[in-house]
Formats: sequence, structure tokens, C-alpha cells
Amino acid sequence: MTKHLLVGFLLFFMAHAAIAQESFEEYYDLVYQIRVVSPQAGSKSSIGSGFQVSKDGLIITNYHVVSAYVQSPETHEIEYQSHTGLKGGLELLDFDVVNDLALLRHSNPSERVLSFASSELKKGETVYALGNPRDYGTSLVKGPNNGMVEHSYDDQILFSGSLNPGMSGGPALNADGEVVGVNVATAGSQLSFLVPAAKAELLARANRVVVQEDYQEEITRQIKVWQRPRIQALLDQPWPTEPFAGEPLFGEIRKDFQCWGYTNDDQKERYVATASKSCRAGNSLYLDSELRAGELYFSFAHSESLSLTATQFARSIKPWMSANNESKFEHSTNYQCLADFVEGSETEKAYTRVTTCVRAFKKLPGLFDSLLMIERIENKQKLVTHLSISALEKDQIQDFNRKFMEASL
Amino acid sequence: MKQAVIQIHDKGGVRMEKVSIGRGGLTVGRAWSSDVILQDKYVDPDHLTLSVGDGGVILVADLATTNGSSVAGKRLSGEAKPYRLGDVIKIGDTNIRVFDQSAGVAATSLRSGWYLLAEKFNSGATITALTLLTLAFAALVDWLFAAKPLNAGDILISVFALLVGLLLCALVLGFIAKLIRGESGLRSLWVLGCISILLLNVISLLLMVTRFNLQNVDVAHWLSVIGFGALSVWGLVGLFSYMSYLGTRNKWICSILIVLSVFAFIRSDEWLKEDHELWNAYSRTEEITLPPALLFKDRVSADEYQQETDLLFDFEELGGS
Repeated sequence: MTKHLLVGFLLFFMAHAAIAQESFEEYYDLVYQIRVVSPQAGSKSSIGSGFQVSKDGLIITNYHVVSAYVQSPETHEIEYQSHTGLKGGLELLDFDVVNDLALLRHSNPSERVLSFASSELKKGETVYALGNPRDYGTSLVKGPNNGMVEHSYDDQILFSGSLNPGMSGGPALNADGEVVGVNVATAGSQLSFLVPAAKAELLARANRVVVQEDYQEEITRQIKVWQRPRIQALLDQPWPTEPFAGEPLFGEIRKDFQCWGYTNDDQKERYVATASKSCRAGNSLYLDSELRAGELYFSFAHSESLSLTATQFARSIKPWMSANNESKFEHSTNYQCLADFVEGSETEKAYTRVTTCVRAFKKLPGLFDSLLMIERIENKQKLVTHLSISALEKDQIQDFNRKFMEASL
Repeated sequence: MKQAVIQIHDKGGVRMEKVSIGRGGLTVGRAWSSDVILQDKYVDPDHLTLSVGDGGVILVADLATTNGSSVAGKRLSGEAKPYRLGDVIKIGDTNIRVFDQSAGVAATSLRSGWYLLAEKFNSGATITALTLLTLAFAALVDWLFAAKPLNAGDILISVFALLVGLLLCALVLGFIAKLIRGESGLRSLWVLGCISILLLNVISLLLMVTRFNLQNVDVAHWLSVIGFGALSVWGLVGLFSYMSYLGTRNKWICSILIVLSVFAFIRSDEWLKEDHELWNAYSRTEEITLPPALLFKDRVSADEYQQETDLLFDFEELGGS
């Protein structure tokens, strides 16, 4: 359906690290391995990297490195292991699910800390990423900065170096040894992403402490703050018309959307000719190993019967949809749906059926996932448009659904 | 002297004999000199006597036989015992009952609707017509909702398969009916099979159109359960009528119980599931889509529709929003 690159987090991705040998030896000591362990299981449940940014022991890592702890703090603990093998506990102070960052406190801080870069990172400038790939030992990966990722709503640095599982949360330095970014994800060989240092600096300076009981509430708040302007801008702007199957529809409605198309013209034995197009926003939030939020996805599918009768053709239409964001019983309710035939411009020989489904996040009050499907069916052809929104508040879901309906009817 | 009727139920079936029982008694046994002759190797040549005692009471006595006799389940000794009319006397493999001729017989039973239904198709022409109608309708439904274009060959194959299935079912059920009821009733079963298939197709079609127009999965589920449940009960009552001697009330009770237990068995899997097993990431909507010609429901305006979707955001399990 889509050739969209799946961005795999470093924790779960495999590749080989290229180790540079510059005068960065002293910086190896400044990288900590961050482990989330579950004492009951007696082993680590995730590993990542982190680095100290203040003398009083503030450590930056990725949110996804410590997400298991955030989701169930009662059964997990966060530990560090230094380059020399020293171990100890860490306290989670704050996190930023949108930029995938977490702020921890070191009980036994080191005297030496990394500082944030004061100058702007230039395109082509070499970046040195440090981290502990797959628990093999601290490694350094060198590669150029390629500027900000296109097709992304949030700023992310495109870094051409091989980040590996376990390097998540490690620092990316400029030639002066200042932090310019935080390792966060990879999409395959030499294609990696960094969170701009400014976001980490903001988190470190915010000087906040989120208490355990408020973790879910804080995640909810952050998602709402992120989603409101992101969606509102889409609601306020006109969607540029792009024709699809003879209809004036739309496509890459903003730079963070990418669309892909498909037809079954090459199929030898086909009873129905189909053409489809799907568009996806580049950003979504990782909340837990089985929970994602914030996806925005829509698609169009046009089919025309080649040799089926009207009833046979109708039978081939199965109006089902599924969530585009990962979740499970602990996090989401089942979908509640409403389907009905809605007035359109069509004649007696056509109808429009609209299906809306909504499910709620159990731990994130006021946030919902929504699915919308509009089927315009004539005797021998149909156009199905589908919209899937994740982790949004009710009013914006309703507004977005309405705008989508008006734009596609 | 008592004018009586003696009912003899042996391996050969049931027969009735008119007899006169006097003070001298009536002998029953295998001997050719007996007043009532039984052909049963476990019965003695002179097995028992029936006589009239004081006050016109019929007395029954076993004649010290090899295998003995019993009346209403009680062993009979050598001395004469009073006999209550209608009780079963068991000797050897034969059951005997004695009735008073003056008592009269039960009122004539009415033929059941099922018998009359089968009687309507008592000629080759009517049966062929019914069979052809059933097959034609099944083929039509097949063709209407096929997943791919069908040619004449495909339709012939499906019709032939249905015919063979019907024949096999009728033969198997007929054999069972022969064992239970003594007659196979093949014709009745064939008629019942054809009508059931016809009704099944009609009900399926009606349900599809209704469900499509309703677009409500919960109502659709119960409509299907009721529709197909009623058809199953009807068909089972028919089977019991043609295959057993069950009374009307018992036929209905048995059929309803069978259908309910099958339903419970099918649904039990769902009922026994824990909440987390019922979770999935899919939407739950009506699966049936039909062409515009079969849409009879009024269309709502986009505004009305969206107003209704407001309710989707209330989740009972989360205590409402």
C-alpha cells in the first residue's frame, strides 16, 4: 500500500557501526548507557544511551529509551552504567514525547559535562554521534549533517551515519565537542535522525519535575499541545486540488504529507479495475512498545467493474477499516461506529455511505482515534475515501472529518 | 362371558383378535389347541389363562411356564390375579393387552399440517416443479452474489451439487425414519428439503436487504438469529413429523431446544471470552453492500449525520465523557 520508509527506532534496528578515530577520546567517558530494568524479570528490558548536561547531574536521553518505565513505573527501574563500568540508579524528572526526549537525574554526578552548541549547525558539517550500540561498548559514528528532514512537521536533523540500537539518546557533537543533537532513529543504512539540540536544551532548562502519578496526564497534555496547532493549520488552510480518477480531490496538503499511488492494471485476471492513492503525514509519536499516536492518514480508492454485475460488484465492497496507529487492550477501547446513507449530489443510481468510528485512549483522557470512510457507490463503480486520525480531541476530529467529507464529496 | 379384544404385539407387528372370555377361561400359548396362538419360541405351549372371576373381573394366571409371565412389570405366580384392562402382559418376546369391546375406541386423529403439505406434492409433476423452482432460485442467488463472473458451467455444477446433497440427505434421513417410524417417507423428506432450501434463500435475501438498509450490526445480528432460528425450528418440526411419532407439543419443544443449544454452542466461544480477547483494532460495521437499486432507506443530511456521530465519543466503559 505504501512505500513510505518505516522509521525504526534504534533500539530495535540492526546494522553495523562505523567507528571514527578522531581526537574524541575524552568524550567517550561522557556517554552513559541507560538501562530500564524490571527487577521482577531480573533483566534489562531496554537499553539506550544518555549524556550529562549539567554539573548537578541532569542527563538527557530519548523518551523511547525509558518509555517502559513511564508506562509502568511500579515494575521498572532506570539504571546507568558508565564507560568504566560504574552502575547506579537514575531518577526520571521530565520527558517530551513529541521530540522523544527524557530528562534524568544522576545521583552521583560527574564533574565533566557536555555543553550545547551555541552556533547554528551548517549543512554538510560533520557530526560525531556517540552511543553504546547493542551493548558492545561506547562507539563513535561520523557523518555529515544534511539539514532538516523534509516531509516532517517537527524539526529533525537528517544525519548520514549509521546509528544502531542502543545509541538512542546518545549525544551528536560538532567538531568542537558541543552537543548539536540527540540520536533518535534510523531508517536504514546511513540514514539516521537526530533531535535538534535546542529541544533538549529547552527540556533541561525547563526545570520541571513530573511526578509518577502525573505521567499519563502529562503525556496527554503534551499530545494536545502538539496536535492543536498541527491540525488547526490544516483546518484553516485550503487543500490544493489534485485530480484523482477524474474527481477534484487532494493529496500532499502540507509538506509533511507524502502520497503514493497504485493501480491493478498489470494484473492478468481482474474483474475490477482499481486505482488507489494513499497519503500519510510523516510524524507520529512513539508512546510505548505497542502504542503509537498522532498518525494522520488518508486514502482514495476508485474501482470500476469490468465483468461483474451490479450485485456481484457491490458484494466485492467490504466496508471495514482498521487503526493506523498501534495500540492494544490496555490502551484503547474498541471502535464505536456509525454508518448511514448521506445526501449527496448523486442520482437514483448511486448512493453515498459514510462510516465513522471512534475509539478512546483509556489512559489519555480526551484523546481519541477516529476512522472515517465515505463510499460513493454507483452500479458499476465506486469511490472510497478514507481518513484515519489518531490521538486528537473531539472537536478537532469532528472539524477534520467534516472538512474531509466536504472536500471529497 | 366377557366380549374382549386382545392385542398381540410380537416380532411380526401388532394384531387384534376378538375373543370371548368365560368362566372356563381362555388359553394363550404356542400349542395349536390354544384359544389364542402365539408364535414365539419362548412361550410355552400352554402359557397362561384368562378367565372371568366374581364380579366380572378378568383373572390372569401363569401355567408354571419355563420363562414365566409378567403383568405391568410384575412377575406373575401360579395363582390367578385380577387383571386391569389395558395393562401389558409380557410373555416371551410378546406383549399382550386386553380391552373391553364395549369400551369403544379413541376419536379419529386429525392429519397434521405436515402430512397435508407432503400430500400436496403427490404427483411426479408437482415434485419436479418444486425441485426445479428450488434449484432455479438457488442458482439465481448464487449468480447474484458470486465473487467472480459465473458461466453456465459453474451454475450447473452448483445446481448439481445441491441436487446430490438433497438426495443424500433424503436417503439418510429416510433410512433413519424407516427404523424409527417404519416408513421412510422419502417423498415427504424431499418436499421438506426443497421447501427448506427455498425458504433459506428467500430469508437470506430478505435479511441482506434489511441489514443493508439498517446499517446497524447489533440489530442485524439479532435479525439473523431470529430469521435463521425460526427456519431451523420449522424444519426440525417437519423432520420430527415425518420421522417420529412425537406429539405436536413435544415436536416443537424438542426443535426449539435443539436450535437454542446449537445457538448457545456457536456463541459460547464469544461469551466465554475475556474483555481483552474481544479487543481488536478493526471497525465493526455492517458487512453487506448492495447496489443502489436495493437502497430504500431515506438519506440523512451531512449535518444530521455528523450530529449523530457526536454520540460516538461517549464510552460506557470509561464512564461516559
